[in-house]
Amino acid sequence: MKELPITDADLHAYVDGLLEENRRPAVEAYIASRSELGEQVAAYQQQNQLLHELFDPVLEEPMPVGFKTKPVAHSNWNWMRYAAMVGWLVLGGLIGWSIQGRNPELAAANGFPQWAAVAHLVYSVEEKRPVEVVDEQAMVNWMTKRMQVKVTVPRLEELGYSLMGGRLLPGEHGPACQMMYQDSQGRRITVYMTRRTGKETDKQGLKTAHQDAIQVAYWQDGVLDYAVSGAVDRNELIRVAEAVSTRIRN
Amino acid sequence: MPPTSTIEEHIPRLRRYARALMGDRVGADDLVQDTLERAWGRFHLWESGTDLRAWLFSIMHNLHVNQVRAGRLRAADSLDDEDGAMEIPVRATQEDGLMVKDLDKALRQLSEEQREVLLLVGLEQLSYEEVAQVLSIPLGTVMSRLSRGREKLRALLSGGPVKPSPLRVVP
Repeated sequence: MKELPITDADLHAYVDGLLEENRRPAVEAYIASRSELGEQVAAYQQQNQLLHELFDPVLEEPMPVGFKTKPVAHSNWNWMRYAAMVGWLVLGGLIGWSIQGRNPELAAANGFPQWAAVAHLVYSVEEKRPVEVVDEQAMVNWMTKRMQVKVTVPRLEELGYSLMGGRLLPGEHGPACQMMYQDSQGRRITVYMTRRTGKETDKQGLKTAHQDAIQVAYWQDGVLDYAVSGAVDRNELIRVAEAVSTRIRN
Repeated sequence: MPPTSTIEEHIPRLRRYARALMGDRVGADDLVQDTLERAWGRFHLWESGTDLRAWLFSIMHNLHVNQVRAGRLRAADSLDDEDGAMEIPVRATQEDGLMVKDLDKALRQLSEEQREVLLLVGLEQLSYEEVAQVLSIPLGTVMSRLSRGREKLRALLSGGPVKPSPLRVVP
């Protein structure tokens, strides 16, 4: 087998320990055969070693005074988010009360479908900022990271709903995420998911509840609680929820 | 699936690289702080599963390039890839302590581009592919900058003229 010619890149890869193992003997032999190459390689190796001697102590240096090693809330933006969250919790409480009065089923369901319904109510009417992230991949990465479980975005085009995007929300016990879809008439449905803190209480059961015009279908799967909400006909919502539950599993 | 490494874990290495890149301590730590601010603000854009360290280095690179362009740094650090006219040989010595000091001086005489590549490879031990990704340049450009940078550093440290490598550069 004819050996490939030894190149400058091979010398550097040799110096940096990045040379492929099967190429190593040929390169070593070549370097040994020419003294100026031996000097060159030795000089480069010494450079790497000196760089470490010179700069490795920085690794141990204490942080300078005032250096921020964690993100710090310093803008109005965070303050506004906080205010919005408080407002949101108050609203949730109020809706909780009203649901409790009229719909014991929804109130009894561990609070979770309520949260989904409130989130739907708050954001589905947004004209300017219905969602926070539009890019699907960015949304998946973000949600997966924050939920600490792989998040799948179900495609619902076949049912006539296209994905608008999503957002991260404060849920009852931690982060929750909401994905929003819209049909050709502008009707919006949301898929809400959050990590369950307790055990799976009812396996494979799809349940429904409603608050005035908002229908909620909810179920549990794995470590997540899911809910689909929308101001649509109950059967329509069940159809969507079934599609979502199937697609999330595939 | 908790993230295997967080931004904060990389702070020491970001500081080391910035110090080597810029030379001065205050400027380097400012660059690290700017890098962190941007990384925290854009963490949702980081693709999970990809190398977080490489992502952070690329943020730092972009900020640094902007700083250089904005003229905040010494004009002697030219942005073009050519070897500059200012080539002051550094006193040659075999003693290690002095060599280390000489190296710091010699590093300042490389172009920004050569220094970045040389440090990412030699100090931060990134693979050539990772360096290409961090700096958004082709692999061949990484290799030619590395080759020129190392040869120039060698010449500066030995007090001799800069010789081209006897081997041709294959991209």
